[in-house]
Amino acid sequence: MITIPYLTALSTYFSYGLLFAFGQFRDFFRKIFDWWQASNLQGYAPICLGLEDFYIRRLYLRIQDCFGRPIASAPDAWFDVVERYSNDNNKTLKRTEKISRCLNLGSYNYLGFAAADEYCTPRVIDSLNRFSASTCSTRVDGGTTTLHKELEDCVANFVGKPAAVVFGMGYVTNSAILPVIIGKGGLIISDSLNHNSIVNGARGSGATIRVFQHNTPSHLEKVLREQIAEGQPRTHRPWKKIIVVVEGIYSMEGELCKLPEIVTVCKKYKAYVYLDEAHSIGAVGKTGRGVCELLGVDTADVDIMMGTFTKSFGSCGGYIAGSKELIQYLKYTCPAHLYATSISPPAAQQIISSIKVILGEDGSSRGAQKLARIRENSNFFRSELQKMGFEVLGDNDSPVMPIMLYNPAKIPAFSRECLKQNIAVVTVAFPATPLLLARARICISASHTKEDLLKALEVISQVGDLVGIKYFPAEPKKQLQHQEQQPGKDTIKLE
Amino acid sequence: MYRVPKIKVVEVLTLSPLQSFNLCNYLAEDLKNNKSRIVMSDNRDNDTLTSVDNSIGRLPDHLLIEIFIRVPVSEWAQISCVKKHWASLFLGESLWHAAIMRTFPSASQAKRWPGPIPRGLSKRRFAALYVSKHIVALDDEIDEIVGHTYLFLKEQLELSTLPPPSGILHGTIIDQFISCGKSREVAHELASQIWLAVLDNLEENWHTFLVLKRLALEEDVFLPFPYSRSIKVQWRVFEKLFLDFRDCFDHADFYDQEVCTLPVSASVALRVAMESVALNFVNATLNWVTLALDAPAARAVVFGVHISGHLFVEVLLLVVILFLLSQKSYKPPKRPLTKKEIDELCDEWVPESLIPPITEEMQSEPPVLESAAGPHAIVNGKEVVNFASANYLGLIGHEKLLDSCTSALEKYGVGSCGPRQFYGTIDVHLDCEARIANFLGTTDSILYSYGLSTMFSAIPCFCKKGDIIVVDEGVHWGIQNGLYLSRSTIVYFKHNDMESLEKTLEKITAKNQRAKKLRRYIVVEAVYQNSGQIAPLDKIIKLKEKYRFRVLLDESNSIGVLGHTGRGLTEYCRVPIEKIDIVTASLGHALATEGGFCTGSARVVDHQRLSSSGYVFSASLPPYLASAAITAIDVLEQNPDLTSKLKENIAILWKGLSDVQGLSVASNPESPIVFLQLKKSTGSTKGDLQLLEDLANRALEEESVFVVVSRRSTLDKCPLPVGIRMFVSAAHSESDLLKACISLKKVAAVVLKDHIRP
Repeated sequence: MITIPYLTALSTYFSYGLLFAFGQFRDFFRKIFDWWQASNLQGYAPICLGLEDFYIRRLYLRIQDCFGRPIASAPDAWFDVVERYSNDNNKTLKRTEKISRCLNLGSYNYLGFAAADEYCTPRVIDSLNRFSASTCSTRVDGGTTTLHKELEDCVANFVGKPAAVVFGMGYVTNSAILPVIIGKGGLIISDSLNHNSIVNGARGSGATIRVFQHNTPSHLEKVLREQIAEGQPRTHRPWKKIIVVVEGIYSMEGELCKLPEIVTVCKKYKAYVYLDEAHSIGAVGKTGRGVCELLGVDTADVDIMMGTFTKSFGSCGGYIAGSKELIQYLKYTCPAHLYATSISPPAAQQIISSIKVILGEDGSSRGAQKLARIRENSNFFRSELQKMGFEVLGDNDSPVMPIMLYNPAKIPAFSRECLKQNIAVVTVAFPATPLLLARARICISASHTKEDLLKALEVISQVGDLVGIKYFPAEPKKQLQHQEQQPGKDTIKLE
Repeated sequence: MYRVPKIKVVEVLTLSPLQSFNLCNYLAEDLKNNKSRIVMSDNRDNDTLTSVDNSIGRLPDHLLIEIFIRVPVSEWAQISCVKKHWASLFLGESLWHAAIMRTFPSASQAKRWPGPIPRGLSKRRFAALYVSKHIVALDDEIDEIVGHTYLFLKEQLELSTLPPPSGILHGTIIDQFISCGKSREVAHELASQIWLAVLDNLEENWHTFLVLKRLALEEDVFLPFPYSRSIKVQWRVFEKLFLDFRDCFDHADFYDQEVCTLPVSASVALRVAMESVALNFVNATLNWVTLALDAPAARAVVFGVHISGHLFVEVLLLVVILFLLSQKSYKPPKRPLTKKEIDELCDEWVPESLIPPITEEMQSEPPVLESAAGPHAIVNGKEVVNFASANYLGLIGHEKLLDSCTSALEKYGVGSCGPRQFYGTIDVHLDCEARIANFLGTTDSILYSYGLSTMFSAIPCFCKKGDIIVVDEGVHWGIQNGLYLSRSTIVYFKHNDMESLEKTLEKITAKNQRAKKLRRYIVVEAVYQNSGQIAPLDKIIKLKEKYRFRVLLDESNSIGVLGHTGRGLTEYCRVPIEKIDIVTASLGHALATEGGFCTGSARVVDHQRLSSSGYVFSASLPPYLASAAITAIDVLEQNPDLTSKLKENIAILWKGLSDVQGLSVASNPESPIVFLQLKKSTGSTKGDLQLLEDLANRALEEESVFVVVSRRSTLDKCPLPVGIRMFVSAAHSESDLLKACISLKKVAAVVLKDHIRP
């Protein structure tokens, strides 16, 4: 759990209060000056609603340039960020022809499959020529090609489950599966920081939703006991079934799920486990098989395994892996399978090829090297950041490391200053995080070299001093020098 | 023997008052000493009398009176018998008056009193005073009224043949005392004493016996406190009856009295005793409480208000009331389950299996394509005519698209590796958005990475709890899910029925005055995926403007198909696109790529960039698909004959299928989805599906025509009948279409043979 320092919380509240007051002030005068234009749509209620709209207009637009920066190349270790300018105080941004080559610390390119790959790209282009870019049909109609079949077998094998079904979008995977497997009379116990797609899926299911404290198995047990004893609200009938939904790596916290403990609790109380491995599949574990492998959990104990191909595999789409019967049932009735266009064949091919590389089936050891590299890079980068005195969240081995910023003014400051020095970082604010807990998020890739990381560390440290986000005291320099000798050796070894 | 001083009358008359007083004393003493002698010698010795007469006989009356009153009262009777003149003196007023003045000096000033008991003349007054002093022995206080009361009561009991009930007598007495200023207790006490005195002094005769008997039988003891005779009086009555008058009872009568009266009287007496004790106790307590309350607080003055006892009590009550109000209302005590009980419940609980048991129909696998899903595809090694892909413009396998995809793949890789906000925006996305907006004539558009997620993200973005959405009952699942997630109020109208829509809108606006302040939407599909019907947009726009609703239009199956240049339903119905507030579409149909987009005013689009969950929280569309979309639009604009070719093909197929046995075409003649329905349903959706599936499978296996059935998810709430859905493509040749018509007729004749006949 993040414990925000008292003074920081105060200054953050003050900043938001100031922004809010100033925004309201501007709205007030805008109303006065534009009163004759106000009657544009008689009889219609405004399409955009109060506070949400206010937040976008008066808070988000001021720092709009820090988000959604367009790039003009593949999201590899280094990429081309398109420069933008604004003539109206950031309300609209216009692209220029100019680009700047930046180090990419923002994309979920964990294994470096985002760029053209010597093994994958030719096969992807082959399959494009063979199957075209789309099937224009759903999986149950004419959207199942041999490629889709192969992909499902390949994923099931990789994940370690008897069967799998794939969808064209990770978000839809979560939000369309949950309503199929659970409905009224069921209970979904969800981690408090689960991804929005899970939240939407749970809402769409009509089941009752309870939340347990982020990554706390003891609280999960408490909730389970309470709920089983109480039964359904009002009727007090026993629950039909209970599904516990957790994520492998929490993308905004960088934390690994405490899966072994959670699985034990769920087994004890006969609850089904739904594991979302969006960020962990391919990125962690000895052979990239995700948190189950990393934490030593038997995949048979996880009833439903979900994951996406957007991150480590550099493609798109998502999968559900589970027992043969589960997959058969999903294929029979899941709306995403029945009504949505099947996954694009080249994207499917990319997944197949990248899994082959990870498993070493391409005849090289590139996959293993990538996995080793991302682990080393992540742990090195994380420990360095911590030594500098940043407040870094997350666990070791996780390639996601959020640096806490808190104050709203530090969001654009950190992002812009880093970009000036050609480091592209992601800053996250509301609505993706709670209002107070704005952060910068760094995603480490296997394609980053030691030089890249050292440069990034240098810049981040410098900007961190400038912006004032080193909330902890730094460690003495001596150890840093000691660390610096190590990477030299590493790069030699890896090359 | 005794010497009467020879005093001349004249001398006596001239005596000073002190001398005459002493003289009178002397004479009275003399008279007293000689009285017995006088009386004794009354008849035989006239001499003595004469001597007395001689000594005081010639004194004036007032001196005689002075003398007499100095003689004890007990001797007055004898004195009055001595001489006629003396007797007349005793009858007169002045003697008694003087006697009162002499014996009871304080009584002369006593005032009269109100009430029924008379004061009477001096003689009676003297008697009364005498009684007060000697018979009713009150400590010091000799009250005239006590004596009068005694006399009154005695007269009532002795003289009258039928005296009033004792309760009335007693009440009269009590009232008299109370009106004279005595407290109730004192009055009661005095009355008791008077009663006792009277009872004691009654003569022992038959009349008294009757009176006592009557008193014993009377039950006036039940009167309230001071009006009931005291217990002592009651006892005295019984005492006298059973001791003094015992002999007066004859045998039976005595026992009758004893048996009947005694227990009753005893119980009555007991009750009276208890009552009086209780009353005394209550009175004493009340007195004490009043005293206690008054004593400490009487002196308190708060803000100039004297706090007396009742104020104190009121304040106390107020405090109690406030205290009770401040307490939580009563709730039955909760008894939480013990740890052991919860353990047992957890052990007992058996969850349902994750999925229902697998039936045979769930195991069916769709045909697997071994090639691209073009107009001709390879299934099971056999070339088939493909009517299962919504490849309306035949862009699958189009060279320009493949080229643009290849170059994009080489430049950008496959995935975008991030959401749009976090470096997932690639320049082709922006180009694609601009190209779509430019093509449709809007200011901006927003790309979604999946067709299905477009609607179910866009709807909750603009519709919140409380908003009203009027929606066609035949919309596809993506819209249904969006409606559900928005939590708005949803009202369905009959599928593609404008009258029903108008009625619904009328009802909502007329019924609900508040509706004017809510956001109101009509949600329709341009070409319904579930029926192939085309929405009459011009009529919808008229209704929308009349009732001031906004329109959300899903153009997934109409972009690139309807209208001269393929700009969709707006062009087809000649409606300016600005009239439609939100337009969504999937790129996965006519444009032969993937993803979806939403377009409208700049405000509508910009709002989604931070509020739409499917946009914000999902990785962006793979760049090669975006570039394919751009190219597809380019191709469409450069080849206007594509849409006209598609129209021709639709017309051919529609005509060819209009007379299939047992099937009817339910779709619009211009819809690219040709929807075949069973003329006669089997009665259940499941049965229909099975029949149609059988037909489709045969068509594929025997005739190499790939058609599909519109399957329904268990989550889908669409009430429309199922059917065979054929997607017509511009790339289908005439012979393909004709072959399909012939094959379907052939297969239908076989499969539906049994269905049609009976």
